[in-house]
Amino acid sequence: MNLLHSIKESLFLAIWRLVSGYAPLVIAVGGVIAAVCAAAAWLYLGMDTDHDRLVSPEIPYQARFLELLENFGDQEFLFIVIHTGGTEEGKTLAARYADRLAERLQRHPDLIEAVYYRLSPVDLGTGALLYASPEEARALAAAVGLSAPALSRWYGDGSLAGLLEETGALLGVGAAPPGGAEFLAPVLGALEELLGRVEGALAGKVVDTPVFDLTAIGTQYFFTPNERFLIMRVLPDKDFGELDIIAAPLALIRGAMAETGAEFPGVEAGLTGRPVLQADEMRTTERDMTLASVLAILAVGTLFTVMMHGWRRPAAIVVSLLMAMAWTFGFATAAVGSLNLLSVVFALVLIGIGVDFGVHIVSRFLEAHRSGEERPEAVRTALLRTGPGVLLGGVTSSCAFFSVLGSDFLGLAELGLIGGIGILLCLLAMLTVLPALLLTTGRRQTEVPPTAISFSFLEHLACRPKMVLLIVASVTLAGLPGLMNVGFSYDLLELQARGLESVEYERLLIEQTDESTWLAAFTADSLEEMTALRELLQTLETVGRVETILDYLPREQEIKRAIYAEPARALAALPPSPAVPAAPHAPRVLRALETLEEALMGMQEKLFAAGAGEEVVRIERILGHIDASVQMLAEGPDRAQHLDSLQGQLRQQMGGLVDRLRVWLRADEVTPWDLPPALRDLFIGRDGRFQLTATPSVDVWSFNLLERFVLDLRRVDPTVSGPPVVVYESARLMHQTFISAAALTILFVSLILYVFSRSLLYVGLTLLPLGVGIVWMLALMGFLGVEFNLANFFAIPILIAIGVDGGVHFLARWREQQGRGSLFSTSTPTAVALSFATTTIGFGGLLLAHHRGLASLGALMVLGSLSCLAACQLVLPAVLRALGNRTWR
Amino acid sequence: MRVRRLIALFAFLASVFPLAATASAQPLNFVVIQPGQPGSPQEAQPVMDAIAAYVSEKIDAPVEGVYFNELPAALEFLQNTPPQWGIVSFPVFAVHAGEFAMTPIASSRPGGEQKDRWRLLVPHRQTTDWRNLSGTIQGTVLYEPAAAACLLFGEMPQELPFALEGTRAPLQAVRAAARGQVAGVVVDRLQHEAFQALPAAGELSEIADTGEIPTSPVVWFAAMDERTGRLQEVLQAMGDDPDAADLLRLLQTDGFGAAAPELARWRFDDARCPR
Repeated sequence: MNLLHSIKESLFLAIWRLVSGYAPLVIAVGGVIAAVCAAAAWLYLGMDTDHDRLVSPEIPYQARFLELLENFGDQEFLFIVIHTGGTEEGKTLAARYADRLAERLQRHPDLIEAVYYRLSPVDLGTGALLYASPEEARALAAAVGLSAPALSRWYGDGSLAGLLEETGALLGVGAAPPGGAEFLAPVLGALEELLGRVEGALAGKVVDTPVFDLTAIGTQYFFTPNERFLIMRVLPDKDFGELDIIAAPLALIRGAMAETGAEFPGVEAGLTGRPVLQADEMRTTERDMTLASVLAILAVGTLFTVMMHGWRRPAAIVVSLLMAMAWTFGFATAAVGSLNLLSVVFALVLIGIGVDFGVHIVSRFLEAHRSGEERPEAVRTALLRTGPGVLLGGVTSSCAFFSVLGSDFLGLAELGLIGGIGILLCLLAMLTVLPALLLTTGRRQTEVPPTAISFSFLEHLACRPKMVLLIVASVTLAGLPGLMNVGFSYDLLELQARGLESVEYERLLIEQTDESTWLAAFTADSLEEMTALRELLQTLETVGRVETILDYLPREQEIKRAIYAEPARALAALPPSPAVPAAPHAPRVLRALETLEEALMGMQEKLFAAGAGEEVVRIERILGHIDASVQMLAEGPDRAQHLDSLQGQLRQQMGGLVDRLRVWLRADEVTPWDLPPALRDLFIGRDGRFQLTATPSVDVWSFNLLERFVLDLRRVDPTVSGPPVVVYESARLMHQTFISAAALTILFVSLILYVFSRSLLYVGLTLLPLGVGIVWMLALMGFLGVEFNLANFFAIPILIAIGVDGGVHFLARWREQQGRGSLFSTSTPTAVALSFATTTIGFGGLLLAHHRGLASLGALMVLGSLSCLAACQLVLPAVLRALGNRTWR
Repeated sequence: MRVRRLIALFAFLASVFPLAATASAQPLNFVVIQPGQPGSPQEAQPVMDAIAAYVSEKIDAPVEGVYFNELPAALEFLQNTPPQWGIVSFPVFAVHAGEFAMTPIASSRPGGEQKDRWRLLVPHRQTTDWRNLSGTIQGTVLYEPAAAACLLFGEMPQELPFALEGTRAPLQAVRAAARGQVAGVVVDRLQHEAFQALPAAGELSEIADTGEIPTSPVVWFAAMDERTGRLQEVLQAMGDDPDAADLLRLLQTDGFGAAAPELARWRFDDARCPR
């Protein structure tokens, strides 16, 4: 004890000599180091916002997830949910909206890696026609069979007029267009385009885009099974060097959605997905933190100015703190090299805890100055008398951070290292730079010793220790039922702000579709293993949709290939390409147009009788093009030569279309390896293994259901991975880490206190206000319905750190007084109260946060700080008084 | 003795089985009569063949179907080659049910609807009272003027101040009415749906309608037998039969329902509007 005491005294005397002898030098050296550190951090300190690097890659579940990412790439999609209203018209509108939006997004390949929302026959490669149902295949075969003679005739002619004649003849034959009603829309679409081009060409307009767009025919959009929504999956390019990793793609998508929404005012759409939720969380957090910070600065600034009588002393604390923070940035740059999503908050932690060290030094300085000591003497008193308590408080506070150093939660471990060292650096700054600043600032001004602000009224209570302790015990006992109600909520969605679009759409996806932003992933070595796994998964109640590459393979391929054999032969019999036609001749084109017009009018009557108003109107438009063309040709037969270029284009495009049909109709069986790369890469890994994904059928934002889902999946395959597993395990790991950190902090703090005092009574008394404060806080949480969650649980180690601090300072002052005089006539209770007040104010601003996780963190910190403050001011003095002289020896 | 009885039994069975086989193989031909429908019977024949193939497979009997969209030819066919069953337009049923012993056994649901409704459309603001009209009114449902006149106006055609004329070009009739070339046009429910998408929709107003009336019934000709019930079952189960999905799409319906009970009220045997 004596040795430690001597070392302590020597240390502080050395510090005093340094500070008093070289005050400007101390400030200058501190400032230069801070400048160097700040510059180094500015230049070299990186930002790593990759969630996947927050946890140790050595943990099996994380190792499997990283391997999955390596093998199959990032599949964390953003989901654009487009409402269809469940009607055909709504679906058409949603598809057009999606097309326009995709077009806008695909203009930025640097920000958007991929957009999945439809599959067109062209996307599906040579096996496209094998995706048709057998009925569709038969209809197509019938259509090709019916059209083949006409095509054969036209191949021998190759002219525009010939094409119009043959089309008119075909349409005039049947009750429906060749191939049945399914082909009506594309046939009418192509005809409208073609006749519009004819009219345009006759009027002298030249258009180069294709008349027959195959991507528009038979394209399947990704509608949900209830057809109420069209889902677009967007893969953004992530920038892990930014705090908001998808800021740029997200801004682009939201801008594109706004533009597309203006084009389609009737279409409702929203954006969600885990990256969006995280980005929105980041944004609301940032906004809430800014608001909380501004409020805290204003409130703490006012409080400091009042309590410390002017702005110079608070400014000295702030300058010392800024230096300490700069040093910590320097340390982080040298030791870690980057900040992660958790360690980035270290600065806030230092502001919250580091400023308290300065408060104690300045309060003691003011007390000494007020009692008649000159400025240097007052600084000396503050340093030598309060310094040891500040040192002890700082070391115990840093324990809360060092306690997570060995955690598998690497993000938290890095925060522990940087935060713990930061606290020690704050301690260093407050014990060197701050006294130097107190010595040098305001020297030239004549100072009137400030009036004391003390809590002397509490002395009346401390004089009646038994009554106080009885009341405290009664209150504590009354609070026990509330304490029993405190639980831990893992519900992640409940942490998010209410009313956020991404949150609302996440709920909508869960409740109204089988789509999920949480895909569990399995790997299989062979197709057989994958099929067996799929069958097992489909029996699970908690599993919604199981997706494999087999879902993208055409079914009944043999049947369809047999159906296509005949039309393939019919097309194979055609010459390689259409004949080169003669220049368009007005009388022949006129006759062809009239034939076509007659056929279309007949078809229009039938469609009208069948109630197909939209198609009737469409034919009306086609007839309008024909009428205009006929009129132009009748008035000027020479205009027919304007059709020459269009005729050439048509010949080429029709030839290409038939060539593609020939390939499609003769296609071999489609295997997983024949699928388009965009699809193949989702399901076949770099090592050739297959991926299966399973969506939950339950709301996995509820932790109990997430647990059920994960445990169910593990019964089928213990190696299952993907976001549900990672979130489940990470939440558990975080919970365990916080509990072990809290326990280790208590252990380390107790050890340090014991080493410092060699007295168990001292350790018990120091921890007493913290213990009582935590019990009161838990009781209040129970009564107010505040639960622990993954966002606010971090408050516990911080509360332990600052709660112990109060006890340390009270005990130090009580010992210094050696039982004489009143504790409440000193500056210590005021300084302790000010410390807790800054914490309460700092975190109290979070109560206004939209992000419910942050608001709950604010609530916990406010309740905890106030409880610990009350316990410090009421319980400890009463106990000290009750125990009498034993306590200061 | 026993041997003789056994031989007699074999002889009986041998004589009955061919009969039974013949009975089950009796054709179950049908006719579809929709006067005024655009197109030609030849164009509709593939649809008839599809219905025939489906029913034939379900009932295990040979089935053939013919289609008429002209009334005289249809009536002549019924006189000369009466089929077992048919789908006839409601006016044809209303006027000729007694003549050809039609018994409704099911009802069609065009466009998925169980009821039809006819509307008289006239040029906008010309008049709101059909009694002020003169000239000709056209429509696909007017081939049986008596039924149309009774249903729309509660009068027999000869008591009306205008003529009712059937047409197989309903869209042209709408255009003619919009141009004032005819006094008005009568459209059924499906045609009215299509009409609303047309630019002409703003030029014509509705001044009379039939209210809800039955759709085309499925009828059995002559005396019913056990096949009637089987056919009824097959038709009414089509909506739930995946094998019938394509056929129903072709017929632009979602299946067949029970026969409308009010069909019995609409008979024009005595050439007077039923009250």
